[in-house]
Amino acid sequence: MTLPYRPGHFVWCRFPQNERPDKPGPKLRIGYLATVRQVEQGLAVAVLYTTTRPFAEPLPLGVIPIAGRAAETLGQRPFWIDARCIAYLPVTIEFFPRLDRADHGVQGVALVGLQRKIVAAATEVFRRPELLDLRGPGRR
Amino acid sequence: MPDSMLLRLDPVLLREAKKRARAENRTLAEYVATAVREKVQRTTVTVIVHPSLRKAIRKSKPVRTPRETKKDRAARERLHNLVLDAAGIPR
Repeated sequence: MTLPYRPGHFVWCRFPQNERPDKPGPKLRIGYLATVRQVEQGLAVAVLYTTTRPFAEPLPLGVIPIAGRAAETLGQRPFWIDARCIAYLPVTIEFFPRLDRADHGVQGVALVGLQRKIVAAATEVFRRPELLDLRGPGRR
Repeated sequence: MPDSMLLRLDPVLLREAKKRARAENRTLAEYVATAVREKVQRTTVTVIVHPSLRKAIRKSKPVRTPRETKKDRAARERLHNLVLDAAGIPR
């Protein structure tokens, strides 16, 4: 079976808002797929949030700039991956409105070096739970 | 404009730091600066797990990338578990 998504893909999606994690967000944006999982009901992905809103230097931990050739390859202006903001979503047309297209809404694929950099940056954020303030509906 | 400083490190620690910096595609200075920054700063994170996945996600299996190494797979799996731990999804 050909899977529509793999880790490293930049995909058009409706990233949900904190207050309504079960609903697609209002805006179609590019998300970065950190991992793709097989679950009983189908596929699920961990999507990292991206934004074109600039960050002041020094960049916060977990924020990765995508600029220059990397952004051009994606046909996008410079943007930032914010690995501090992650959503695990089912792969459905609701959250991935371009799923049924031939390209499934995949805007591009990160090179291996960039994939490793993103995973490393996200891991740096999450490996020290004592330094995390958790927002989001999963908070106990 | 950042200040500079002279830092003395045990040679074994320095070697390990250089190795980790290389593995993360960073300069040694960036790696050390990040380590210091994370020590002194808390980070606000947002983790959203769709309600339909809350029970199933821990039992899920990863989809592989073509030409992915064992090390890459292990790193991704580690991140996956760290994020779910942070979100309070039970193992």
